[in-house]
Parts: sequence; structure tokens; C-alpha cells
Amino acid sequence: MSEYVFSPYVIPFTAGLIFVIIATFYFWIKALKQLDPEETRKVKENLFSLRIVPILFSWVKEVFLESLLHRKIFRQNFLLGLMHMLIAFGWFIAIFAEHIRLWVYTLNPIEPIYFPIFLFDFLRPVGAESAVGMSPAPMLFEMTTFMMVFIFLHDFFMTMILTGKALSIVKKYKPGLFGMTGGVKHNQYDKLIVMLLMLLFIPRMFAVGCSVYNYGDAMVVVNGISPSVYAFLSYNFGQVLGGLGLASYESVFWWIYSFCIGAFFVALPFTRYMHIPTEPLFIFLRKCGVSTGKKYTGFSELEVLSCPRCGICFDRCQLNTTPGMDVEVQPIYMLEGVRDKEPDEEKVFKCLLCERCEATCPVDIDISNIRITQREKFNENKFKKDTNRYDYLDDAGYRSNGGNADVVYFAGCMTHRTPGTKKAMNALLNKAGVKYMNLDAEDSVCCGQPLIVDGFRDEAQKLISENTKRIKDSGAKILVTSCPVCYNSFRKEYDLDGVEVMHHTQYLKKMVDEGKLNVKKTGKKVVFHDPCELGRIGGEYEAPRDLLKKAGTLIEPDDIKDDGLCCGGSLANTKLTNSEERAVAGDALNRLLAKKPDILITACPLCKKTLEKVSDNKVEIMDISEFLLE
Amino acid sequence: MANVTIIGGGVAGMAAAGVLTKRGHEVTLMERDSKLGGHVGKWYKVFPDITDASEIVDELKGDLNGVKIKTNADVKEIEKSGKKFKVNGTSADAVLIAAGFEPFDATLKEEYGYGIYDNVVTSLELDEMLKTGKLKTKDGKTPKSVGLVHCVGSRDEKVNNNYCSRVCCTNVIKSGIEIKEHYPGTDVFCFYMDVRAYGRGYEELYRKSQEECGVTFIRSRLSEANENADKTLLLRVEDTLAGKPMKINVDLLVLMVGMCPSVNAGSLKNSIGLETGDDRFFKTKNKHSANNESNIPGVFYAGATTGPKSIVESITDGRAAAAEIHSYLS
Repeated sequence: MSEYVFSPYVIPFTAGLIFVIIATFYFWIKALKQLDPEETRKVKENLFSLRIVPILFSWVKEVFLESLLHRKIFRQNFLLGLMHMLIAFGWFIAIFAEHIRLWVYTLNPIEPIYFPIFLFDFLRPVGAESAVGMSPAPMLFEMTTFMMVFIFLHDFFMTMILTGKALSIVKKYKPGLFGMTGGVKHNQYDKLIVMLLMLLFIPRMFAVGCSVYNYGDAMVVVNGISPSVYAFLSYNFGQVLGGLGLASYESVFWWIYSFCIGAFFVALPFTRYMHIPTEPLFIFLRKCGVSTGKKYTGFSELEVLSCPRCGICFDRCQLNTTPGMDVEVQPIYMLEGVRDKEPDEEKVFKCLLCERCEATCPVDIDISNIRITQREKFNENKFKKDTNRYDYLDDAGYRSNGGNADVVYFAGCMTHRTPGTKKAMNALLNKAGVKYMNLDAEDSVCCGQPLIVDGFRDEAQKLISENTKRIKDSGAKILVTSCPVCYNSFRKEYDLDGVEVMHHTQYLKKMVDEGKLNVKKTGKKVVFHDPCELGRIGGEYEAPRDLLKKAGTLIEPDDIKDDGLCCGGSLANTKLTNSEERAVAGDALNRLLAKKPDILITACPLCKKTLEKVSDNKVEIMDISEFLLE
Repeated sequence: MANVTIIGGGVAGMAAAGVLTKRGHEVTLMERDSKLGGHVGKWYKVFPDITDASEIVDELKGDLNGVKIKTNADVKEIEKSGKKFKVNGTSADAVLIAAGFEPFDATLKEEYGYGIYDNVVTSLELDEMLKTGKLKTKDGKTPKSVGLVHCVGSRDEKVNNNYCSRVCCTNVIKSGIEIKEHYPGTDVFCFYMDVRAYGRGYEELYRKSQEECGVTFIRSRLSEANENADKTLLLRVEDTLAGKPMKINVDLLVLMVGMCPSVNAGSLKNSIGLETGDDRFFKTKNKHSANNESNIPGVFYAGATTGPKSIVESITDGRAAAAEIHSYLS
């Protein structure tokens, strides 16, 4: 069919669509320009090599599974996943199906951009040409089985979307069913666009319903299937509308629909729905190996734009879930500030960096790294440079051991504050006959991580180089630390030329596995508290559990591993008050003790100390090394 | 004649009992320990005049003729019906809570190594050492240096004790003088935030400790203690005047533990709805003019049960409470 199908009502939609496409390109190009040279190199390297094939494949897979099906949200909560899937996938597939219907009909892949959206008006069944339709010259199709199936699919996908929308209304009033608390406060633009999204399917159903009603007798029975079955939504709804005498307003509904969807597109770049066009690029770059590390780059910008403000982080954050706490600093709020170039100091700093949010972020945003880069920005020029600050490193008087140790034990500053752990580790290392040295027994130098997480990465370099010198000087091949904070610091911030970094849980497991340490089974019921830095951040969940299963009866509380609770005593916190910290710790302790263990065991000096402070001697709290020594 | 029950046979309770019995009231004094005297009864010498603590206790005991004394009587709750009270089965028209304090549990400051390292003791143990004349390290040697740490469990947000325990500073000064007088060859280092030697004769004692006895005061905060191979202690402190970290070795480390509310304060509070402050000590009706009254008519407070106090303050407070009770009953 060569005739050009047009009606003025397509203008709002088309204008909106063009606007959103331009806006998307604007954001994409801006972000790509701000990529770090290293990141650009990575992308180019992948783009112009054969590796692009698997990258594209896994890109399509992830976009399909996460952006459309919302697999991760399904894992979080079935209803929540279902709601997201119904709307996102339903909408995508509805548009896609209408394109297919059009392409198969015209056999022309290039059609006006608005054509498939208004297909029910522009493409009418034979026999409906004389109907009330307002289009000047509708194209006509034979009601074949193919067409019938696609009308059915349209109705089916619309039902999916409408069900999703209905679920979102239920969610508003019963957030608990969706595993949420519903406490998130959205800004006015976000509220507006949710409203538009909610609204635009209603005029569509009115418009489509009127069109189908106006097809009149052209809606024939196909293969014995009546239109009330294959067009179960549009035909039946159309009958209702016709009965109410609304069918003659068909073009009015198309106008309203076009306005709604156009407004949706215009509003989109200013709202959280900007994540829809940014996410595909963000996922592609990540597939090319880009991530937010130590610097805030164009990629970070894309990450921030990709935050859909779904609020899952809000409900995971203990600064929200702890009874009596009501602190609005969660990624949903923090990233919003970053996006608007108005980061809020409180929101950026008041965080324990426990990464409970990051573990369930459906978009996989590098939340903590972004937060740290923002902290760095705040710290710029804020503090007077104290050039003599690290003079003590020169006269620390470190004495070399002559490079003959197999293992260096770095207790860590925080372990110096829980000397029981240090003592137990020394006893265990002696028992296992390890040739080791204490690297920080007398002249300890901080690993640097507290400075890094508080936004002073540059300052930390002096400490890092001093420790690196000492570690290399020891001659050891394994570095054991009792502090998970140090563990991550050594792994991520240091270049140790092949010295293996182990947390003491991992090293003790190795000693037990190699038969150098014997563990006696006691009848004690123990609970293991996963330290954030060891588990979520360090990735070690099993070593302590293996050891504890050998030494006692391990019982698991509700919140373990990825769901492990933060004790509240994080070094990354500079804004939380002591009473807030105690509230977090108290709540965590109660949840850990729900199954009444004899002993609460942890593997981080900070957790041990923080939980002890609120324990009121309700339970014995020990480091795993102390327990194994007993 | 009215019945008054006093909970706590420390100096505050005894002082109050002495006054009330002289005013003609029927007084029952309940003490959870096997003998009267409370903490003071166990101590050796007390400031500012470095007299024997037992002398004070004996003097207060002398006033207790006619007082019904019940020892080994741990009071966990008070019953109230109308204007009458019942404490461990004894009925009373008025109750005086003089439940005192508990020393801070030094194991909560694990970084100082109490209970982990051999030569870390609390001020209570130091007192005992001085009393028995055996200031010794674990392996039986007289220490060549002793570190005294102020504010252990006091003025410390980290352990949820924001308040000052008031007596520790002067106790450090007194202990330093005693050590120097008995063991002139031993160096004494005191690690303080501020020196709060506020009472009559305290400042003079502070001067004496430095000018005559050579006790060293270092304005600093102890960060952590480490045990050396020879069981001496390496202290990491921040010199808060220089703003620099420093290290110092001592043979014996003494933690001057602060005061915490009595273990029974919580259950007493809940039994009849008394009030406590943010510091968990009992809250008086008015900080200025009704400092012995509780929120419940007929229940009074005296001594360290309403916050850390020195001996003289506790005795004075006990007598003030007695005067309030006498007015209430007549």
C-alpha cells in the first residue's frame, strides 16, 4: 500500500518520541565523552575484535532477563518481580507484536515511526472502511488467522500491562505483599511520570475499544472463533463503550492517548524513567569490562541515570529498618542528588558502606564506589594540608626480620583493640608451627582503608607504600590479617607482587585442611555473624562456616551471607551518632540471637566490639580464633 | 513513729540511718553484702587526707544504735499500696534508695587488655595491692613503672557513659602519691583527658603529687595496650597537647574504672515506676531544690544512686535525704 497514512493526532506522540530520542543521545554522548581514557580503550578494544560477539550475546541476554523480565526482582519478591515484568515486558512485547503485524502486512520495514502505535486506527479490516473512523484513508486487511492471532496477542499483552498496573495500585496500599515498606518518598516529577504511565494505557484501551467497535461487522468470526474471544479485551470493552455511545469519540481518545504518551516521553529525561534508555548502554559498557572504581567517570554518570529509584535499597538499609530509625540517606536518595549535581553531604557520608543495598540492587550499580567518589569531592579543599602528618612513619623504627618469614600476620588497628583475637591468633599460629612474624605488633601502620572509605584515597597512599615496603621485606608469601577491612584493602588497594592475602578465617581453614591444626568438636550452639567486609565485600562466606561446623553446632539465623546484618560499627561512618550506632547494633544483635545460640561468633574486630557494647552480657561474643583456640 | 526502710548500707545509707534514728524513726537498713560499709568498707586509704576508709565506716556505724540492720538482703523491688511500701517483706512509710554504684566492667574496653594481659589491673585491684602492701606484677616483681589511666568507662561515648565519674581523677592523684611514697623507685605516669580535682583539698593534693612526689601527668588518650614478650605493656597513646601519637612502656597498667548504676537500679525502677536519666542513674525530682526526692512521694534517694559522688558528698547527701524524709513523715 503506497498511500501515506497520517492523522494530526500523531503529532504529540511523534514530537515526544523525537524529543526523548534526542535527549537519550545527548545523555549517551555526554557520558561516553566523559569516559576515562582507560575505559574508552577497553570499549574500543572489545568493539573492534571478535570478543564483541560473546559480549553482544550476553548483553542481549542481560537486557532481556533484567531490563525486561526483571529476574533479580523476582528473586527478591515474586509479586514485585511480576509487577515489573508485566509492565516492562508486556509493554515491550506489545509494541513489538504490533510492529510484526505491520511489517507482515506492508512487507516494508520502514514505516512512519508512529504507525504501529496507532495501528488499530490506520489498519482496519475489510468492510470497516465506511465506519466512523476519522483517519482519511485507512488501510484495509483481510481478517486472516494471522491477523486474528495478532489482535489476540495485542489484547493479551495489554492485559499483562493492565494487570501490572493493577498490581502497582495494590502495592501502593499493601507494600508488605511486595516485600517492601512503602516508605520511599519520590520527588514530584517522579510522581507525575508514574501518573502518566498509569494513565496512558487507559485512553489507549478506550481508543482501541472504540476502533474495534467501529469496525462493526468487519470483525468477523475466523476459523470458528468469534471476535469476543480473539479480541477478548478490545472487542468486549468496545461493546461496552459503544453501548455507552462513546464510539463516535474514537479520534478524541486517540488524541488523548497521543498526548499522554507524548507527555510521558517529554517528562522522561527529567525523571527516574530515564533509566529505561540509559540502562542498555550501561549494561553494554559493563559487558565491555567497565565499572566505577576509584574515579567518577562518564560510566558512573550512566550508572546514576540508570537508577530506577525502585526503593529496594531503601528497604534493605538498616538505617531505615532499625526500629526508631528514620534516616533518608539510602542510594535512592543519594544517587538522586548526584544525578542532579546537588549531592547532599549528609546523604553521602551517613552510610556504613555495608553494601546490603548493593547486594540486591536490580541494576547492579556500583553504589559504594560512587559514594566514595562523592565523599572525595566533598573533602576536596575542605581540610588544611598537614604536611607533617605522616612524619611518624619515618621514625616508626620498623625493624626488618631479615626476610625469612613464610607468613606475615597483620593484626590490624582494630584487632589491636580486641587483643583477645590477636592473642588467640598468635597461639594458633604457634600451634600450627607456622614460621611467621607479626608485622604490626609494635609499629603498626594503618592499612589505609579508613581514609579511603571516608574519601581520602590520596592521603592513604603514604600508609599503603609503607606497608607494602614492610610486607615485601618480610619475604613472606602469605599475608594473614584478622581484620576484614584490612583484608579488602590489601586485595584491592595494594600491589603486593604475588603475596597471597588471606583473612584469618581462610588461613585457619587452610591450616585445618592441611592437618596442621586440630579442631575439637564441642557441643556449643554457635551463630556466625557475617561481617560485611568479609562477606558481601570480601566474598568469603564459607571458610568460617566450615571451621565452625567442625568445632561446634552451627545454627543459622535468618539474615545470613548476602543478607547479613551490619553491626553498625563501620569505619565508613562519620555521621552516624553513637546512639544511632547502638540502635543498629542492638537490632542486629536481637535478630542474630533469635535462635538462642550459646555463643555469637564473628570474624571482625569491629563487629565483635560493637556487638559486645550492646550485649549486656546476654550472650558470649567471640572471634572465631578465640573459639577455635578454646 | 514511722517506719523507714533504707536500701543500701554504704556510707550514704548509713549516714541517713544515723540521722533518722536520732529523729525517732523506726529504721531498717538493708545491705546486700554480709557487712555494712559498701564500697568504702572495702577500700584502703581515701583522699583528700589519705585516711583509712575503715575509720569513716566505723564512725558512721557508731550512730546506728537502734537501727534494724539486715545484711545479705538484696533488694530488687519495692511494692507500693496506698501510701505504704513493702521492701523484702518489711513495711515502710518511706523508702530511701541508697543503692550506690557498680564499678565499670573494664573488659568492655578490650583494647586496654583487662582480663587478657597479665599486668593490667583496675583501680580496685590497685587499692587491694596497696592495702596488702604487695604492689607486684604477675610474676611477683615490684613494677618499675606504673601507668594510671583516667576515665575508663567515664566520659566515653563508645561505652555509652557520657558522664564524668568525678572521683577517679583525685583517686589517681592519691594513688600516685601512695605508690611514690611506698615505692620511690617506681615511675608513675597518669594519662588524663582533664584533671578534675574539684573538692576541698584536692587541688593541693594534685600539686603535691607533682611537686613533692614526682608523679608524671600526660595529657593524652590511651588508644590501646599491647603486651610485650616480657609481659610488660606497650601503650599507644595520643598526646593530645602535641597532637601526635606516642608510645610508652609500663610494667603495670591500672585502669581507673568509673561508676555505673547499681545492678538493681533497673528492677527497682520498674517495680514502682521510678525514673532514670539518660545516664541510667535515678532521676531526682529537681536537680537543685529537690535533689533527694523521686517522682513517687515517699521514695527518696541518697548517694551515688543519683550519679557519681565522693565519700563526703554521699554522706552529706544521706543526711540531707534524712532531713527530707523527716519532714515528709511529720
